[in-house]
Amino acid sequence: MTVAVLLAAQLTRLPQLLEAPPAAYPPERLARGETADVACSVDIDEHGAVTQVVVEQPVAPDFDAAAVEAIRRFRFSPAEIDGQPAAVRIRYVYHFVVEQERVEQPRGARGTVKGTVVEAGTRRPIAGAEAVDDTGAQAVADAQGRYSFETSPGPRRVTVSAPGFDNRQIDVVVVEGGAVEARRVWLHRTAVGDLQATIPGDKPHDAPTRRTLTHDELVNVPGSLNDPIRAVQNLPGLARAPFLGGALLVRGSPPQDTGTYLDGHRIPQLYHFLGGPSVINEQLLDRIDFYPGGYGAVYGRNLTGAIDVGTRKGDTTGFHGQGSLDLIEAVAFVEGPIEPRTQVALAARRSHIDVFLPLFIPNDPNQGVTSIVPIYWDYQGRVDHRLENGDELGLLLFGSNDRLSIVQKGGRRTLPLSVDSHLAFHRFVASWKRMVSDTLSFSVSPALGWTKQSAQTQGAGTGGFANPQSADVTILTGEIRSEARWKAREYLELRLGTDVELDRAAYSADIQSSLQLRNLGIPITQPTRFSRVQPAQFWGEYVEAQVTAGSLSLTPGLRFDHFHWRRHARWSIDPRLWARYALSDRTAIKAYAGLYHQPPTGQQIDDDIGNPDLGLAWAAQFGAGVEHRFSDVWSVSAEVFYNRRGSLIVTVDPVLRANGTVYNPRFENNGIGRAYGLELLIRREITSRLYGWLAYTLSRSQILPNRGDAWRAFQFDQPHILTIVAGYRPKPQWDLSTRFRFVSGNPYAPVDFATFDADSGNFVPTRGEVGDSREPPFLQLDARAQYTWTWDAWQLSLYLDVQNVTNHTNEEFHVYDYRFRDQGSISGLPILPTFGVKGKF
Amino acid sequence: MRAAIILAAICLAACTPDFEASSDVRDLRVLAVQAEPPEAQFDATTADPVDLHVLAVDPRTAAPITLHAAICAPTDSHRCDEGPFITRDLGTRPLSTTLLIPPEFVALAQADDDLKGLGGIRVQYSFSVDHGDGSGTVYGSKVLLYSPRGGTPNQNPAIASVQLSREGLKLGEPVARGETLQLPKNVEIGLRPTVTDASIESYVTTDLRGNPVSLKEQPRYSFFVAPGAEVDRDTADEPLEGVMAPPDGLSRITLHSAPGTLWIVVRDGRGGESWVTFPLELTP
Repeated sequence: MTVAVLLAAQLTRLPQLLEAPPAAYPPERLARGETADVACSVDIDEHGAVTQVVVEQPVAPDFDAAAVEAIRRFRFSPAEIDGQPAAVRIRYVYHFVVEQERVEQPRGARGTVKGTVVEAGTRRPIAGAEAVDDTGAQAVADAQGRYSFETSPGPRRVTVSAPGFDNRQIDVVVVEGGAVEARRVWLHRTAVGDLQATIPGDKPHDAPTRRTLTHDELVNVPGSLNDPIRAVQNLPGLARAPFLGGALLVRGSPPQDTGTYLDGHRIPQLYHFLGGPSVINEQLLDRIDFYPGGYGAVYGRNLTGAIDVGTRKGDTTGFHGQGSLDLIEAVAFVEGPIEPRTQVALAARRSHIDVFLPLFIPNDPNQGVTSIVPIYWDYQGRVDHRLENGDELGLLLFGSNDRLSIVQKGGRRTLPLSVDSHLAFHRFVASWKRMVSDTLSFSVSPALGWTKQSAQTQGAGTGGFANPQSADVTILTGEIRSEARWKAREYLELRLGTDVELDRAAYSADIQSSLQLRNLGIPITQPTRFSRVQPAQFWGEYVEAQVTAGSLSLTPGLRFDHFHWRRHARWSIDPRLWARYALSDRTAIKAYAGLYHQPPTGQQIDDDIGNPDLGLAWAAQFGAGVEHRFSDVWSVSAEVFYNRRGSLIVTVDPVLRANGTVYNPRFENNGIGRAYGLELLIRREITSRLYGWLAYTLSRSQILPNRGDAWRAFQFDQPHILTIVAGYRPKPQWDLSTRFRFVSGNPYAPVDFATFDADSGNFVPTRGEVGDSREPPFLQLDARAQYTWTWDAWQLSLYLDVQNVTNHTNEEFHVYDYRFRDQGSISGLPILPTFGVKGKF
Repeated sequence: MRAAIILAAICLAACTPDFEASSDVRDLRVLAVQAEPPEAQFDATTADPVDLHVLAVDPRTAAPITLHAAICAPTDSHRCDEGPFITRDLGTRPLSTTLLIPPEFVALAQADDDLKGLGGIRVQYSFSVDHGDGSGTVYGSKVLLYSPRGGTPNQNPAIASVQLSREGLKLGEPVARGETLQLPKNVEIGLRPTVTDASIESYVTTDLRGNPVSLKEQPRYSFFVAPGAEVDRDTADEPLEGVMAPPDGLSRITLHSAPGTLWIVVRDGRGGESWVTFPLELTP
C-alpha cells in the first residue's frame, strides 16, 4: 500500500521566512482600526520563492487579496527533502494588525536596536517575527531569530509579535550612534500549527507500499505510551500481537520474515524484552518507514516486510534536552550544535523497576524467597558534520542491554530455581554523503556490531532439564552499505548500491539435551557440550531505475544476493518492479511485483542441531492499488496484495533409510505459504487541531507445512483488523487522542477428544486444524490526554494514558484442564491507566 | 507499556482458571497401566506374553469397571481408529489380563513404523473403561514394547517405601507398600517415596543422529487421592544425583476426612511403571 496522503520522502529542513514585505492594509479597514487573520496555503519552490497562494479560510475579499499579494512577495530559505532543496506547501496565517505611524527622524540622530526572539519552552528562534518600536521603526527576525533596526535615540518601547504567538513588549534606551542589545524575548504559542508542512507530489525513488509516520504522529498516538515505534502497529498490514507484545506480524507472516533497521542497518530487536519500550529514544527519531511488502531492491534477505527507523540530526539552533522519570525508568536526551557545521545528539535510558518490583512479589518460606530482577538500558549518540565542500559526515553509536534474573531459593517445598537471560548489542555506524553534482551523489555507510545473547538456568524444567544449563552466542558483525544515485536524464534516474554483511558467530552451550531419537513418555536427557564458530557472509548488490514518462512512473529493480556459510553457498536473483500512474494531481494508481529470498537462521543450519544443507526460502509478492487526495489534509489509499511463499523451513520427523541408518535433518525446505487481502487507509494529516486515520485490513494467511498436509491458518491469521486513531488539540497546551481497535480473534485448533497415555501419565489431545475455531474478536478503546506547561526556557508535560478504557475482556488463548474436559481462557490486560511526566528545554 | 509487561507476567501466573487438579480422583479415572515385562522379547516364532494391569478407580461407586481393548500400530490419537488393516479388536477384557501377541502382528507393526522399530517395536494397546453403561467412558493407551531376543530389556521400577515428614522433620519410620497411613486431621504431612535400588537403570539407546548413546533413568512420581484428602503437587521427579530432596518431601498430603486412599505411581520414562496404594485413616 502506498504511503497515504502522499507524505513523500523525509523532510530534513523546514523553510524559513527571510523576507516578509508588509501587505497593503485596506485603507477603509485601517481607518476603522479593523484587524484580521487570513489563513493561506502557500507553495514554495526549491529556491524559496512563492509560486502559489490559496486562501484556505477567507475573511473578507480586501483582506484576502492584500494577504495573497503580500505573501507572493515573501522569500523563504528553501525546504529540504532528504537533504536536497525541494518544493513544499505550507500553511501560513497573515495577521493584519494596526501599526504605529512612522515618524521620520533627521539623519544622524539614529541608534540601533538589536535583539533575539525565541519560542517559549523550546527556545527555538522564531524566524519572521516582527519587532516594531513606538516610532514605527521595524524589522523582521531572520532564521536565527535575530532582528536589528535603526531608530531615534531615547527610551523606546519595542513590540515583538509573530503569527500564532502572543505579543511581548520590552523597553530599551537607544543611544545616538550606538547599538543597544535588547533582552531576549520569549513568545508563547497561542495557536496550534500555524506553520506546518505537508509535502505533495511524487515519492521519488521509493516503494509505493511505504508508509511513513513523522515524529509528531509517532509520539501522540494513544496506546503507544510515548513509544513511537509502537505507533506503526496502528497501520494496515500489521496483525495484533498477543497482550501488548511488540512482535511484528506483517501480512500474515512470522516476525522473523520482517527485517528491522536503524538508518538502513539491521538491528537484532526493536523492543526491550520483546515487548517493552523500543530501544531508541523517541526524541532521536525522525521517522519510521514501514514496508508491509513490495519494497524495492534496497532491502533484501527478508521474505515479507521491512521497517526502517530513521534518526535525526541534532538541533542546529541551540542546545535542547528532555528528561523523564517514572516508576519504571529514567530517560535523558540532549542535543545541540558544537560548532556551526557540527551537531550532536545524545540519549540514554535505564530502568529501575528492579527497585520497586520486590514490593509486588510475594515471599513465602514454603515456596522459597523469590527475586525477579529485570534490568534494561540503552543509549544513542549521533554526531553530524558538514564539510566545507558540502560533504556530510555522520557517526552513530547505539546499544541496548536486557537482563532478566529470576532467583528462587528453595523453600521447604521447592527446589532452587535460577534463570538468567541476557541480550545486548552495540553498533557503530559511520556515514559519508557527497553531492558530486546536481545529478550525481554518492553515499557510503560502514558499520560494526557486537551482539551477545546468553542464558543460564538451574531448576528450570523437569527431570534432567532441571540440571544447570547455559548457552551463549556472540556475533561480530561488519556491514557496509553504499549507493550511487544518478539523474541521467529528466526522465531517468538510476540507483546502484551494495549491501554487505559479514558475521562471525561464536556459540557455546552446556545443556541437557533429550538425545534419544525416540521417547516413550518422559524425555531422558544427557549433558551436551559444544562450542564452535560459524562465519557467514551475505553479499548484496542492486540496481534500480526510475523512468518517468508523463504521468507514468516505472521503477524496475534487480537485486543479486549471495550467501555463504561454512562449506555452503547460495545465491538469489530478485527482480522487482513497481509502477505508478497519476490519473490527476490528486489520484494515482499503482502496482508492483517482486521476488524475495531469505536465508535460514544460524540455528537452522547448525551441523549438530540443524540442517546445513538448507536452501533459501522465497516469496513472490504482487499488489495493486489506488491513492486519492481529497484535499491537502484528507486522503485515502487502498491496495490489494497476494504473497506466495515457498521453500519455507519446517521441522520434519526422522526416517530410516534403506541401509538401516537414520536420516534426521530436523529441518527441511518443505513449507508453502500464501497470504492475500485488502488494505485501506483513510488519513487526515497532522495539522492545526485535528489528525487521525482509519486503517482496515481484510486478509487471510495460510501455511502448508509439508507435502500431503492440508492448508491451515497461520497462527496469527486475523481476517479483520480495524484501527481508528484520532487526535485533537483544542489549544496549544492540550493534546487529546483516542484509538479504537477491532481485530478478529486468533485461530486455534480445537480439541476433539483426549486419550490417557499411560507411559507419560498425561492426556494426549487430538485436535482439528488451526483455524477450525477462533478466539472471540478483540475490542479495545484507548485514550490519552496530555497537558503542557510552558515557561520561558522549558516545558513540563504531564500525560495520562488509559488502555482499555471500557475494561473489555479480550480472550487471548484457550487453556484446558489436565484431561481436556474443562476449558477456560487467558484474557488480556484490564483497564490500565499509566501516567508520565517529562521536562523539555 | 513497561508497566503493562510486568502486569501481564503477574496476571498470567495469577489469572489462569481454577481447574480441578489431576491428583483429585473424583470420578472414573485410569491412573496407570503396567505391562510386565515393560519390554517383551520376540523372535520369528514367538513373542513373550505380557501381563497387563490397569489401575482404574472410581471413588463414587463399587460398581464393576468394564474394559474394552484393541491393539494396533501406534496412532497419533492413541486410539485404534486408523489403519484397520493392522487393528485387532480384543473385545471385553479384565483390568488385569495376559496378552499373547502373535509375532506376525509385531512384524506388521514394525513395517508400519517410519523408523522400522528402531529402539523397540511398538504395539499400541488402546482401551476404554466405564461401568458398562457407556457413560463417563475414559479412553487410554499403553505401548507394548518388543525387542529382539538377547540384550537387556527394561524392568518396571518399584516403590520400596514412603517416608512421612512434618514441618521438615521425619515422622516415624518409612511406610512399606500396602500399609495403612494414619494421618492427623487437617495437618500437612510430607511424602517422600523411594524406589528400590534396581529401579534406576542405565541403558543404551539411539541418539538423534542414529548413534548409540548411554543414558540413565530418572523416575517421576504421580500422586492421587480420593475425596477427603488433597495433595499440593501432582507430580515430582526423583531428585538428581547429588541433589538433596526438600525436607518436607516431594509432595504434601492433608487428610480432612477418612477413610481415604492415596495412590503413588512411578514411571521410568521408558514404558516401565508401577504403583502403591495406601488406605488412609485419621489418627485416633
